[in-house]
Amino acid sequence: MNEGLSVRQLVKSFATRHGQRVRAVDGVSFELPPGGALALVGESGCGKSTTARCVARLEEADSGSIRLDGTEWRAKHGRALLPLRRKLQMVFQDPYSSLDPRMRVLDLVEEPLRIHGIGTARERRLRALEWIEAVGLSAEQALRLPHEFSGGQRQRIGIARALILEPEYLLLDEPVSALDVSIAAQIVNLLADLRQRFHLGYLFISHDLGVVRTLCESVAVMYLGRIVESGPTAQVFRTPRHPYTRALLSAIPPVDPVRARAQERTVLRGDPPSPLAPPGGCAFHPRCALFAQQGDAACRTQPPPLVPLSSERHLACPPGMAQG
Amino acid sequence: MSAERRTLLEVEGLEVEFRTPRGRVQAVRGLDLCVGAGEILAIVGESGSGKSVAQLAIMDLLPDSASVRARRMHWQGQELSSLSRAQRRALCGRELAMVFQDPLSALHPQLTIGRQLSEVLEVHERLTRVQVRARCIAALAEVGIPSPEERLRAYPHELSGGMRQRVMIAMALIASPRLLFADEPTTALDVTVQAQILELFRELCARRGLAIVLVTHSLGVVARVADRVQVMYAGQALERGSAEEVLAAPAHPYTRALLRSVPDARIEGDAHSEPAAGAPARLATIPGQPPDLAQPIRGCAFAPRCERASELCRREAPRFAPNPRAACHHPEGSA
Repeated sequence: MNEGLSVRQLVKSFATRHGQRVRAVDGVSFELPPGGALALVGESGCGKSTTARCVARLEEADSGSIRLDGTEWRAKHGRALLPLRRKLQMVFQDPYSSLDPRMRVLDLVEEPLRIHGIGTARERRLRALEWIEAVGLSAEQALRLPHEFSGGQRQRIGIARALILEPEYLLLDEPVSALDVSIAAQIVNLLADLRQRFHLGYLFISHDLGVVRTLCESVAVMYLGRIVESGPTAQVFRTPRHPYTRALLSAIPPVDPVRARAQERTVLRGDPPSPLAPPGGCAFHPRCALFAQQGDAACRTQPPPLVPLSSERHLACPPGMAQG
Repeated sequence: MSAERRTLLEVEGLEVEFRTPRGRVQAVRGLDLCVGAGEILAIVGESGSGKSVAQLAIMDLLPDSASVRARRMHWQGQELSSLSRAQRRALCGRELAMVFQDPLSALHPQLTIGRQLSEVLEVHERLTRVQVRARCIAALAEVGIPSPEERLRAYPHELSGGMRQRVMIAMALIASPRLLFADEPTTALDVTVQAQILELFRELCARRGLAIVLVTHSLGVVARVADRVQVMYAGQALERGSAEEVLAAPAHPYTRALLRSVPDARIEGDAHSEPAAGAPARLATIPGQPPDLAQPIRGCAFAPRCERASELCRREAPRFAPNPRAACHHPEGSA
């Protein structure tokens, strides 16, 4: 019985040097069915990467639930996590720092199999070669060291390493953000192909909404540790309902000077607030255009819950609910 | 409209070569560049295209391992290479200024904002302490920093990324330069903050007649603020023109391919396909890699990756003639 990945009410806080607690993730919930692709988007400090790291169990969340295929993983430790790692692997942003510079590509890609004690040395080697070719590198490149590769090729190595355990899910943390446009497009296409070929589920962390739209059919927009709006990507991007989603979409300049300049823009005032001193109530209210117009007192006092807007969409903005 | 603007900087045939353990690397291979007052010129290109190196060469900020040559490097009609190093440094500090991508590493972590701002003035002008303070406050206010008096006492780590970038811009502008080089000034910032900084650039051009050379890899940034654009590849310009022309009707196959590989987040109308598990959406890509600049390049540098390349392209490097828009033997629209 395969029921997918289900994350409920995830909370993760960190201690600062001054003894304060910072809530990086504050009650995040989402479902990711097998083969599905969900993007977590938002600006730096919104908690999207921390959410992914908690789900991959690189961090331990304070509370909440992470269920995959009927098992609860949030509070497991050490070797008890090995079965989770076989189902769920992570790909990182920086292909320069996530590969051991002294290991050959073949050994890097094979390493997860060794750690999990899978196959004989010969079998492992053959499987590593298969995956190296599946991500678009050649067998002769397998004997080289990471520094001999460009950024895009290193990201391919990172992907092969994540896929060799044949996981059901990949958690991808800004996998193309460090790459040049034309190279990023190659990796986006590779990810789309791999997903289809192996029926992979993607949790995709990104601030690039164009890439998100290309790869993921669902999206959740985060602001200061919470999901403020979620739903099918096409719907959310076409008719954003949260004032923050609107601002985020209008802040990206389209690659068309006429549209880029004519476009009605909500230039947000101020900076994203510090998670150390989050504004009370809705964390977005000090920058919110809707709040500035309507001044709903509840925005200042109560964090709005994420509630259904339709069968597929959710929204955490009571004044936005009321608007058409 | 750019023709009426007074030309400030005019560079012709800029070449920059680095001596490295692997041999000579030609980072910039014959670049022309021209900016007028009140104008934003965007230089677009991918990593290694030479866009940052060209800026540093004009500012005379490259290390000794670089050799810089140019047929002409005029600042308001004066040849820069004829100046002594001290004269050139003084001129560049006063009239040309620079903003970098990462404000945290460009600001001194142990000095207050006020201290770092006033240092710039002390180098370039003779002012009393009261005058310096007033100028610092005015500079911070001009770039939209709230309560500037208090910010003078702040340290860089106490400010957000967007505020730090504003401080960098204030610092670059405090000695009233005529031209600002901005190297990926918004790349490290969030999109909502990027939008604020770009807005500020446009204001500064309009208000002060400031010229800005904006180095970026983002075509969206070009679309939003640039008057003219120059597309670079392997140390050369491949296409140049007004931002409208270049983005709406790219003439060079490289520009065209670059534009096609940027996914657009915006969805207009209902006709757009939605990504689904069944059929993956695909982006257009440019096959292959940029050339190794340590090797001599024969013909057009883009030819090995170009869908329109012919025998002629591999043999002979194209120029901006007869087509003034693109250095290409087979520009878009030609047979």
